[in-house]
Amino acid sequence: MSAADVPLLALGAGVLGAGGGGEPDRVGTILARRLGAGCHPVVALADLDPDATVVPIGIVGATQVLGEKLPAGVEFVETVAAIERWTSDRPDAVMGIEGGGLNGISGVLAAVELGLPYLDLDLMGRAMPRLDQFTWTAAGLPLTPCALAEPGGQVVVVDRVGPVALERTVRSMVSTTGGWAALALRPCRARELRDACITGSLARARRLGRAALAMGTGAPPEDCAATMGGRLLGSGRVTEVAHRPVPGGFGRGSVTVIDNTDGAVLRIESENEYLMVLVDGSVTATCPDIIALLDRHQARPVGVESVRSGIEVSVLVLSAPDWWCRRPDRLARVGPRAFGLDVDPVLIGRRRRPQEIGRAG
Amino acid sequence: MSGPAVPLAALLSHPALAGLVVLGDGDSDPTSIGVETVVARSVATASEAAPRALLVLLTPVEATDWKMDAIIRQAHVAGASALVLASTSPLPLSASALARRLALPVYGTDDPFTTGAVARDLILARGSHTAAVINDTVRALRRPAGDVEHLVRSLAAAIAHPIHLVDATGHQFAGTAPAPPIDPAELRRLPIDAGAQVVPLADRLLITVPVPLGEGPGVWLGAEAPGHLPADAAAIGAALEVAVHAVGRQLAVDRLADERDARLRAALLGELADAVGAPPPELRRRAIHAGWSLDGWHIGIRVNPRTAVDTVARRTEVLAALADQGLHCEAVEQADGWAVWTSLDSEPAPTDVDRVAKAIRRAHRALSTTLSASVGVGAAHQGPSGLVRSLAEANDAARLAESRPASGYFVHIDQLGLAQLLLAWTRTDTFQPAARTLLEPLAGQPGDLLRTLTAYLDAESSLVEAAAVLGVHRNTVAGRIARTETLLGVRLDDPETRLALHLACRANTSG
Repeated sequence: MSAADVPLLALGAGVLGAGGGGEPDRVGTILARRLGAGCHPVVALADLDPDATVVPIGIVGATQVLGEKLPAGVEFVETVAAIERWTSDRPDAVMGIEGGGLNGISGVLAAVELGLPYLDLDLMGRAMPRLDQFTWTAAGLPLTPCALAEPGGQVVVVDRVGPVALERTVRSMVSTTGGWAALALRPCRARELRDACITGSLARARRLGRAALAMGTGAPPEDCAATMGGRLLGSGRVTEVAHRPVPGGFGRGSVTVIDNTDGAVLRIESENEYLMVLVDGSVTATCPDIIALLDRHQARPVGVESVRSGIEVSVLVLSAPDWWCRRPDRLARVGPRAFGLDVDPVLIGRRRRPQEIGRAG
Repeated sequence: MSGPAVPLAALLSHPALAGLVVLGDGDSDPTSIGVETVVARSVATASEAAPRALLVLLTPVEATDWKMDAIIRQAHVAGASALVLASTSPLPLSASALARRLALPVYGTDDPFTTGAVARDLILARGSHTAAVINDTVRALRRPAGDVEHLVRSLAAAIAHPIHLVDATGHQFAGTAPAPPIDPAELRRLPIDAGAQVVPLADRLLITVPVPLGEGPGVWLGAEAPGHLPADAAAIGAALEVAVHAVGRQLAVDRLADERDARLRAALLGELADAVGAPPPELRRRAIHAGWSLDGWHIGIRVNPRTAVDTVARRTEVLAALADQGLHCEAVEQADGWAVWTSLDSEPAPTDVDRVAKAIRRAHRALSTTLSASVGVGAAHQGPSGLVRSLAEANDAARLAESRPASGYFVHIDQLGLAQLLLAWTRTDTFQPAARTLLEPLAGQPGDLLRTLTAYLDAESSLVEAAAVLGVHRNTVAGRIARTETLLGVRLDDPETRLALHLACRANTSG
């Protein structure tokens, strides 16, 4: 890949962020600068030796702070150095931890900074808020030992904890330091990764980004949805944005959009990402399908943090990474009930209800 | 279980459901939405079919929760006519927009259990509603009522609807005035011995029962129920039938007290009129006790209804009409009307008298919509004897007013001298034909007998004076008078005959 691909990737990663995961633009700017006029190799799992060592790298914490507390530029290198010292494993390739939002491309930036090829795999295939929503956790693989490096220079290695305890450690570290940190998870062999990761999120981001760019400005929302391979749920003006703080948890919110063709009332429930769409009171889409609000005029994703009353949006749903939907226990981790929404998952492209899928499988 | 459809508007207008708050889709016309049943459910089962139901949710849902949208949707899919939520907090925009889009009226209550139970009784015509209303009515009747107004007010509270008492003319005299007023013809059409009648009016139901007074249906006890809720109307009817006996009894008790007071007042005024000179101290004491101030200046007013009315019952009406014009008056029932007066502390200036007279005139006009009466007003006089005198003048004036439709059946004595008063008498519609008949034989006779007779009587029966006025010889006058006596068949030495002829002449010449 080259610097010319970065805008496409950033745009597509934003769509896969489902409203969350942080804006990829800043990471994109740094990535484009690092790439300069050169190219960087992106490989598939089949291209690697089964014994090759792969390390998943990304950014955790409050992603908005990234704009205020700029990277020192050595965070990725330092996390990998720390994990290398701890495990004596020298990585041969870098993969992503999260398929959407800024982490959709931060793994690539890490690979560039480390001078290692980027393996187009990640642990989510979209943006999600919690570390227990990694495919490794769902597949029973450990996340530790892992290393964190924050922009102030502090480096922490965490080992021998489960995903819930790791989550607690990571959050307390970033909240008392720079607000965000580079995270390198347990280095593993390439053969371990078969059926334990989401494949091709970067390629998907590229496709989505190309579709969004190709549309240019003022494209009909139906076309926009079709080009992205998703379904248009409605398109119109945002009439209400409500935020409700939840004690001890992420704040909840809802966005109301009145469709400007048939007057349907769309209510989009959100946490860090958009989680569910009700059309005229019927649950029409839920996570883990990717719910995206696209600015009607620029075809750019509108995040949970930046959506405002009065803007014109198209509400799209794109299919969830297939890996999550193949087994009910995986779906339970990322479905609406995992976010406290008491409904069964409603997924596009899946006529059968998830429970029946489980029984059939 | 479902009954005939009841308009949602009727249900909502019932006082027991007045606490419902409109939360969503207040735009739908509730008169066009029918409700056949009430379904009360917890949230979890809201998706079961509830066609044409008032769907009452018993557990509150946070208004901002996305489940609110889902509930509205499910109520719509279930076929509900309206949704009642167990909370009155306002809906967020998405939920209210959805309610409007699905044309589903959404209401809120803090007490969904009671709302559901009341609505169910009202829609399904349950006996328990009737029993509850009758029970409340009996309890209200058990409390002692000071008067019929008080009784009707506590009845209205028990029945939870406006209650009124009207007489056969449609005049409301206790409770809440029906608006718009009831057509008395509507009441007269109703059978008097069939208990409570439900009369559907344009915008409401009138439930009415004749009050048994022993002399035909003079008074009706009625309730107004907005909208058309048959179950409620039946319950109100039953309650009114229970209450009507207590109302009848209270009316009789009130009447007895009024009659006694009227008799005492009439006797007191009679004694004052009969008293020679200053009234004795005992009489003064009773007058003061009755609230009459005898020593000031008084302007007597006589109000004589032009048709027979119950002067005891309608005395307050007259006083109220005068009070509306700022006149504080006393009124005493008389055989053919009321002797009324207003008292002043000092001798009134002509402008004061004029102001009082104008106020009386306005009161008379206001009264005329319900009570057609002739009104006479006396001059202002001082003291107890002055009161009697002014009342006597007012009485004369009222009699005079009876035959003067042109002046609006109103005569104020101050505006005519006593002579004019007498003269006015001769212009009355009854006197003039009589005068013409009396003098008929003189017409067409030679010698201008009518003019001669008039001059002669005007000159105090002096031939010489009359001859001078007429410019003829006195023998001519004597001859003409003799001829007149013959033609009329009268003798002019009789003073009564003289007076009658004199008046007849006046009427003829001036008329």
